[in-house]
Amino acid sequence: MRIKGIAVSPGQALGKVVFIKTEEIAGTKQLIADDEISDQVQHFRNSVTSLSNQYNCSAEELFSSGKKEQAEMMELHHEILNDYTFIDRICSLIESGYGAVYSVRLALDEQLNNFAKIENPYFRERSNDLKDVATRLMYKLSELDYSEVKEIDYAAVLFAEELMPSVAINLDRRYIKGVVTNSGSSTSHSAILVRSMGIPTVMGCEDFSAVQEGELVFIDGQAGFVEYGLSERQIKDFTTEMIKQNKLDQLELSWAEQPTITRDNNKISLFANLINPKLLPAVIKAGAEGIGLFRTEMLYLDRVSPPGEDEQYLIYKTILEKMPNKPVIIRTVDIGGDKPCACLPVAKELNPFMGVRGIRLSLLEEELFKTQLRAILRASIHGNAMLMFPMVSTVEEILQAQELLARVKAELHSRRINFNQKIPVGIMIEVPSAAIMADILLEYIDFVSIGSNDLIQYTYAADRHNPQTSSLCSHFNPAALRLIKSTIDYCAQAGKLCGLCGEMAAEPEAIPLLLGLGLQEFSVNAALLLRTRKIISQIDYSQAAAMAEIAVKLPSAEQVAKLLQEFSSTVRQ
Amino acid sequence: MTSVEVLVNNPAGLHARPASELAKLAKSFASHVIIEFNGKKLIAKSVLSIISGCIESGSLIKVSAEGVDEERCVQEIERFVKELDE
Repeated sequence: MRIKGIAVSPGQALGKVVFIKTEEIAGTKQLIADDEISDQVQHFRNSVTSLSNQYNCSAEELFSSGKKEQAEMMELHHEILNDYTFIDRICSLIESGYGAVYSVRLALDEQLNNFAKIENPYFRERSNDLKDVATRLMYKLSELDYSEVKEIDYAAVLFAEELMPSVAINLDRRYIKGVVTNSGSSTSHSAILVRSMGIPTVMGCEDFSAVQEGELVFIDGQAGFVEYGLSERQIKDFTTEMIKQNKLDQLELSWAEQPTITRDNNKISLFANLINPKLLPAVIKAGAEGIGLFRTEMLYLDRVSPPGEDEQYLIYKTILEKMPNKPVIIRTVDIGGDKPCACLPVAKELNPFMGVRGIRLSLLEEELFKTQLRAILRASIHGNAMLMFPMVSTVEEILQAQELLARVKAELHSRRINFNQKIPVGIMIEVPSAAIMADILLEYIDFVSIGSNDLIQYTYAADRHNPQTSSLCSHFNPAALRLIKSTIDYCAQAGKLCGLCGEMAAEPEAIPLLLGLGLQEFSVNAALLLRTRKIISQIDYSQAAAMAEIAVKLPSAEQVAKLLQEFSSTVRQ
Repeated sequence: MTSVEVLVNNPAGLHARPASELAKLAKSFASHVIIEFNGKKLIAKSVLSIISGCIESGSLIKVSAEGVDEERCVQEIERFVKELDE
């Protein structure tokens, strides 16, 4: 039986269920006698001092063992505990006759009400830290031990209503193989901690009352589920899967420092797609030769005002500096009616995928667009930055975007701000009209990157997320293949770089086909980069080219898939 | 009273660690310090007050101090906010 939740920290594990129950300490509402008040205030102040010292000690310990993130969290908790507005409020509640524990509870609830009104989830999530501090304080006042998970010395998966950050910080990853909770989100402190410790975690599970204490469960923190009530058979299957995954991880790592070349020595560029700058370490570890697509829309989501020029500049600069001498393709924001975004003027549309998104929105919102262009240009001196526009469908859009770019350049020039005058400018080929006209569009730009996901669904007029139409969006559909082929050919004729940054670039059976069509640059998710490099190295380009020539003449996706399967099985032999 | 307007420019805004350090810094002065933002008056010496202000990157805040060391206090806080980088 399976419980689904939010995938918070990746990894798979088997372990025995341990429930962590945090006893609800509410205190009593009953008023205390007048002569007890000063004792209670004193008891409260002593508890604050004692807990405060505990926080200081653990912060120091964590700093000296190099756990900076954890130490900083302890410092934050120390500061929250000693917040004088909070302390004063509690003291005045005690003075009005409530017991110390109950006073803390009341003051906490008041603050939580305040926090609940905050719109930005990153700020709202800090209520979790406050709750943690107040709970510890209530335990201290009641002279109870705060539930910590210390005595476990076997492989365990923890189940809790909520994982407090100060509990997360003390988890021993040798034994704690996974965490499952009812509440929580991937931006909470606890989530950051379990990720940094590499403990598979699923949060936001609805109900796990059917799970038994002590039973063996399987957790998959990447797919976001936990499986319980396991049969012998399932346990065996999960074990084999884990061993296989482990071996694959090891094997793939040996590919990190290899170049990407086909078996007959054709050099291919293997880049990574980057969604969030925080994932850059994984990209570097996998040995990416560049960033084929940095999606800047992440910078705009979950906030009420758009990111300013300086904020964007710093982010682009950091990425460029961490990818020295390597191409970094920064794609201007691609947001439309399908993604809710509070900080951009996106209207609700009946058909958002065909509406104002990508470059269309940028050209309507000139100031927003110019801010982003200025930030990218300013950052361009810190590395090998390339600029790319999404959702282009006509020559006019390129000309308009280029004109705005020229204006921003002139403005920076007159302000004597340095930037790369010759920053390469490219477009995504994801609308069929752009693929059809690619030979003409190429006269105005330096490179293209094929967005295969959208190109296929627009070519077949089929939503790839709709289960009833998704089969039309196969990577092997011959009509889309022809568009991909002609785009690659036009680029070769014009001597311009052609990449592909959709999911197709990492699909094992599509790789030989793309190679055979002459694709020069593959951009894939960091997690699939090493596997892709390995597959490319096993393929003979000349054989792939002969196969691709046949593939584009086939009548159906099914027949293309069959041809590719046959090709892949001969490669494996 | 001394006041200054300063732009919060670090990507995270006045969030967890920056808020906690700002409160610590404000507490090292004798002056009473407030931060005005979005029509709210926040208490600079209270980390909870700062966080609840939800001061995101790109926000313009006004820092005002009143007391014996008000000028130095405002200067130091201005510098602290400008130098934030995380």
